[in-house]
Amino acid sequence: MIGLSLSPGATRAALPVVTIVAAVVTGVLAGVELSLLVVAAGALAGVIALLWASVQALTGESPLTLDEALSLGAPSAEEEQKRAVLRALKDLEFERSVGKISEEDYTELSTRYREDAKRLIQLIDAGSEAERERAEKALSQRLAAAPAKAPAKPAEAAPKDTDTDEPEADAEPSSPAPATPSEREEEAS
Amino acid sequence: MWQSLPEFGTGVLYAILVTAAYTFAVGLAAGRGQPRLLRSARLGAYATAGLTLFAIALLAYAFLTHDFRIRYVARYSDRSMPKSYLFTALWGGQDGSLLWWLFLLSGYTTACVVWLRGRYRHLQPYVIATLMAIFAFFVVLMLFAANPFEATIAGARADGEGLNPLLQNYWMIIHPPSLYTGFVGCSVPFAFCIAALATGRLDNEWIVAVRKWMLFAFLFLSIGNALGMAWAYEELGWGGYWAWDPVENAACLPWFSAAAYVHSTMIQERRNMLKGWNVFLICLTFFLTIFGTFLTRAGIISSVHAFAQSDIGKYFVGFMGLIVATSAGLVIWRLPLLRGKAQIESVASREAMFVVNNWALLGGASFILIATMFPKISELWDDKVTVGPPFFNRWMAPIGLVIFALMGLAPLFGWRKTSPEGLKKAFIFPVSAFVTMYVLHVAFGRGLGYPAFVERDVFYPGIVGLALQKVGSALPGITVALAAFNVAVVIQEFSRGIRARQRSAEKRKESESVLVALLRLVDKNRRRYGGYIVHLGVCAMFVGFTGGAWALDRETAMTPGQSYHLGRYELRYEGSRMCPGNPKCSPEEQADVSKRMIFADLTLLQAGKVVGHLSPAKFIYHRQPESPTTEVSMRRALSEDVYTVVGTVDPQTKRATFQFHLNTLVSWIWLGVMVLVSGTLVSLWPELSFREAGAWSYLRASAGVATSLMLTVWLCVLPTNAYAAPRPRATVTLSHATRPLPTGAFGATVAGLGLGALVALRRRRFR
Repeated sequence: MIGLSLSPGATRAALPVVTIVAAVVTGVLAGVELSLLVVAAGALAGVIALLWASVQALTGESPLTLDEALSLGAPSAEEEQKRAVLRALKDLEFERSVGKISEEDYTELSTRYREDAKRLIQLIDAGSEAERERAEKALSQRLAAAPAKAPAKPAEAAPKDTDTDEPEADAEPSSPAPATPSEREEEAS
Repeated sequence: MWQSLPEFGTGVLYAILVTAAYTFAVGLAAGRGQPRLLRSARLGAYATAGLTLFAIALLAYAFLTHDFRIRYVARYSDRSMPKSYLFTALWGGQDGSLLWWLFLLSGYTTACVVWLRGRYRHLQPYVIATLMAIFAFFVVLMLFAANPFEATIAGARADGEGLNPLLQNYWMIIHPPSLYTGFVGCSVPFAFCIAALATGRLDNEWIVAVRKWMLFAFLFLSIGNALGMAWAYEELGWGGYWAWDPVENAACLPWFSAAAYVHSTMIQERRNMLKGWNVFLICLTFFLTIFGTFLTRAGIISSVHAFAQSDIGKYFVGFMGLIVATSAGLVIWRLPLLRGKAQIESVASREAMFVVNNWALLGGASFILIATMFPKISELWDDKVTVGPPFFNRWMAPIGLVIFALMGLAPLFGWRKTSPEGLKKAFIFPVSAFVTMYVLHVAFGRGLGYPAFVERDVFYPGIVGLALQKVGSALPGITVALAAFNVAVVIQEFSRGIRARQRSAEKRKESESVLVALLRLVDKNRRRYGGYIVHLGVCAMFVGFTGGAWALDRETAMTPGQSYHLGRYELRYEGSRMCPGNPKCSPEEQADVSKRMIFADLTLLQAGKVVGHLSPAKFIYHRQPESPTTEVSMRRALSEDVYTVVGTVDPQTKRATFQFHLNTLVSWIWLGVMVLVSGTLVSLWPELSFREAGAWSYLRASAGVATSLMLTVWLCVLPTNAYAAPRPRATVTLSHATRPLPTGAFGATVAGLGLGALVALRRRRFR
């Protein structure tokens, strides 16, 4: 017997795909009216499945996925402020490059922003110190408990950043790597 | 219940209400931080959206199968209607348009919940709960006041009443969905705003989250309003595109507040200021979308766009009260968190300019709102006072000029403060452009037929009237000069950015061509430079609006063979014909038995040469003979449109009465809208690199925007018949409005949509 296993993503995509394909085929063979009924039937089947899954999640019968667990972290107010300051620094660099701000004002504002950023980064680091220590402790305990099965695989070399054509106008002060999706989005923009 | 479609449909509406209420409750509970509850709420939101899809598919099925047991189907369709208009009828009436609204909201909800996966963990529960509350309102409205599945009391009829002929045209297929997409799109930013207030996370997090949602809503508000203008211009036949009708005004109000927000959000992002103001603008924008819907549907103000009078007004008033109470209550609760620590340090700063610009935009919106409501308000203490288009035109002109001037001024300033040297350097080129254009306009405008001064009548006695008259007279010259100023600002901003990139490249001992520097500049700063492109579009629109100052409006009666001079054109009346029946009618006209069409054929000449043929008409639909429709025929050009309307035709003598309009520069408005849409799309384009997103995710995101772009181009650039039936061949070659729909464009759009859908099916988190 051949076992067929589908990823959860494929399973979720199956119903909409089947419904769309069936609706198109029905539309071509039997007219738009019947294809609308196929769409309605597909929607109803999906609703039943979704509501069932929703009730299961509500009653705690289905486990939390890794994605959901990872998304529990959220940036603090200090992190938000840090991003605003970094963005302001980026704007300042741009405005200096296009000559909208005098050198004197630039120096004054840049110093102020950098001091703000430094203060906020220190605050964030201080706030996460306890969690970091706890995580390091848990990791060392786990490593100590685990038998040495195989030599550790060398870490995959990070792709070298060869994108050196960034102009001064795009200059962005160095900042810690974005941690959450929202942070990544902010950094991207 | 299960044997009857009306009852079954009503049952589905109840099911949507129950599911929305369940999701709302679970969403609120998830706000305490339990992940499994959040998961349950997310699934509940999908289920609610799925049920709405089910309901709209049922109603569409009822229309296509002519199920006249449903009152709404019987009232807005008949057996002779083609399938495209049967779909249009879904939103052609009050009840169905509410379900359509809910359907669009379900699309937004699904997209938002999918997008939220792994993002904004603390805001998510309240975003979902707020969206579900909006769902619940619209379902309650349908169940108790405007049920699209309500059964016909006397049983199924043999045939329906049919859709209003005015609504049976291309623009009405696309205008309401576009405008609704804009209106409903404002729900998502509002939901985030409420979530931010509820959680107290009022820093930049929610501002960043709603950025693109608001831009998307703004895009469709712009497209929807522009399509409404196009519909009024081509279908209503009164010669213009904007009549300051209450419903038109209500539709443009959220555009003003959304435009204000799009600018003020940048201040919070960069300076951590105006937190309360941004909350206010988002709540106001959402409120105005509901208010606009209320105006259209409650029947309190008469309008050509309004739905029939109904008693749904009280529900809307209740909902608006709930929005105000909830928003105000949360704002008061969170007032300490909304107070920004930073302040505007200098008047010569971009944030100061944005604040003034915000006030000007809201001032314009407030003026329109009060003037629109004034006839109703005046009934409270006096006889009804009518506020007509001349009043709006006189007052909105100076307000518009202030907004237009501020639009050009703001980019010249830097954030926080600008040095005097920097200001001098920034102003030289735009001010030179302003002065040069003004002098050239004054010197040569009259000779070219576009004078800088157009004498206006004194509208009011006294100093205010005199001031308005002076401003109105000088308006064409000032507006054109301000357009030159704005264009110069944009050119300067682009050129400065390009030079900065090139200098930076030189420092690295590399070279960057102008084109490469331009593309990289826009690529790295899409929001900023997309915004500048939007400004260019607004410039073109303002030039188009100014064209009204040089327009010619004439009325005349002619017998066959007579000619009439309109500006540099001559219109020769060839005679009238009634179709079907006349041998001169085209085969399509001969085959159309749904109406009688009376055409008045005109030949258009310029300097003695025939440049085209126009056939304005009156259509008399057999189902609604008491309301004949006016069918415009026009020749479009970038400089002016020759716009013709036939009033009456004597069947014996063939003598006809005409309205001729030479509408100057109107095409610039449509051109401006297209540029505005392009600029907004540049701002919306996903800012992800292959490295951070992965090729597939990038492709998926790009395909979504590309699909929107193709759809937008298709909607804006390639209009087809403005008539419910094909027009005579003679006219087809003439008017942009009567060009047949290119099947290639349609195919490209369908392919784009298909690509977007296929790619969207493959869901993968950005890593």
